[in-house]
Amino acid sequence: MTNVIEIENLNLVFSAHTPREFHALKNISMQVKEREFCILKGVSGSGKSTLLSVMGALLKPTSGKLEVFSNPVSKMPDFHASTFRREHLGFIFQNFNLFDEFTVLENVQTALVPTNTPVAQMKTRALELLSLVNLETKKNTFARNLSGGEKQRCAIARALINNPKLILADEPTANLDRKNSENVIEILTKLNQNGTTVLVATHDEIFEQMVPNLKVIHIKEGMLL
Amino acid sequence: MIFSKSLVAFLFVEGTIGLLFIFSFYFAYMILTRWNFNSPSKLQYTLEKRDYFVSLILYFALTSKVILLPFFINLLNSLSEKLPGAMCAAGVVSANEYGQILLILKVVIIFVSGTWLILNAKDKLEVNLPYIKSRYYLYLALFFLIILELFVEYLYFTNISTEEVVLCCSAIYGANSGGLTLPLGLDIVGILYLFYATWVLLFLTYIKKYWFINTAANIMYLVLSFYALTYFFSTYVYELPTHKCPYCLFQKEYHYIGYLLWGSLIGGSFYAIAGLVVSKLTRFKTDYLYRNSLVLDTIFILVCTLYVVAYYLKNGVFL
Repeated sequence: MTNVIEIENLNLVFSAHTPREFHALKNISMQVKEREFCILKGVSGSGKSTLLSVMGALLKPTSGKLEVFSNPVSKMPDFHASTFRREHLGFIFQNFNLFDEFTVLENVQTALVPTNTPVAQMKTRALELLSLVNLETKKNTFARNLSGGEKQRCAIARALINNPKLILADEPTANLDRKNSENVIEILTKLNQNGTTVLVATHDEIFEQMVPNLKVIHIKEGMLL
Repeated sequence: MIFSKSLVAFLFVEGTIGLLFIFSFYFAYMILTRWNFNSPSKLQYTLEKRDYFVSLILYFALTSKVILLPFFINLLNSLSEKLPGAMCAAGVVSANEYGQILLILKVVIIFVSGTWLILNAKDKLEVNLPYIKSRYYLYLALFFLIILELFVEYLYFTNISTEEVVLCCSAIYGANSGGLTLPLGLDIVGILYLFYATWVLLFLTYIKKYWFINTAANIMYLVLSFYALTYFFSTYVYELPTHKCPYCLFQKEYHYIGYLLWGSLIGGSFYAIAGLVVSKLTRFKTDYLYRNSLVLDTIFILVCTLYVVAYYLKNGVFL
């Protein structure tokens, strides 16, 4: 299997050369292979969300090599990084990052707007995904009126709209109860079984209990264990 | 030394741009000597961030330079009120030996700045910034030009005396001026034939995509246009056969037509030269730049010709 993510000696320092200098990531080297379901496990402040953000081209490292699908993501200028994210990645956030004033359907469709997809096609694709996450009955509900679990399912549908080969999820179950967490993990597992590589930053034990063939990567104080 | 509020504002902006260039010099030097896109080192990541920062500064600085050129012409025209003998910018420019040099320097800087801006835009379209060194070599050229320009600007404005009488445009460009002579021993009719023939050449080389010849023809068109406009077309704008001046065109009495005429002419030549330079330095096609060039050159020739035709239709006679 080919490497989807390849990292060598990655470092990230915040506020370098100031009294507040902080080494968020220290000499990280790792690979994630195609079709793997991985979790980055560590306590709060261990650097897992930061590492996920670097992999998702949301943050640039201070040094080191990072390739996602053989693309030098860490070096991409912002314009290309945005395009890369749109075309290759699905990102799920702990706080959902939905537009509260938009309906569920509009939230899911929004991610397709920059691709100039015809509106009818956008709607069809969004409805397919809402059906996949069991949210089609809520398609006209405003995002602000959804429960936590529904919001996360809506966010998953939005992350899938461009058919990403890699899903990065940052604490997707942190704000959910047990039942909703199970729902989210079931969806992610199903996606993984259909060929999508999934990488989740979490400290939730439930992933190890539910996901078969899970690869666990431990991170502590910015270093892999 | 001459003084006006517009001059202070102009020099302040020019000085600020000069300071931004000096500030960027160290980073430009580092990028030119240490850049290696494939390196995962801390230095390389730092240089990538610095490039983003410097490019942004230069983008605004050079865009300001482009905007400042018409402002500079306007400033010269306004200063003519303070110089005895000056009727327009022509007298102000010829107030000392630095005026013409400064004007030519400014046009050259506009050409190089515009090329840098286009090259910068092309580089940002690529993931690995392959034209970064070309951009910074161009920056170095601009750095020295802008420092030289500031120096000449200082010499020019500090050496303008408000007490000495300067020449007016009719003394500089008029029949008995003995100043500028037409090139190649041609008379004005010969210049006009060549001027129109060059536009036809521009059109044909655009259709046939002979870009090198098109660029060369554009440079020739720029030179010929200067003489054709100053010694022939301007007389139709002023409706006076003895009034030959490339600067009075910028005045209110003539509806500021000089900005359109000189803007389209300089713009037309710029796009052709930039088209050639950018196509040699990058993998991008620059046909659209040549198209812009032809459009601007055509606007210039049409507006010039329109003045002659309008005069003839109105008066039934040529000047």
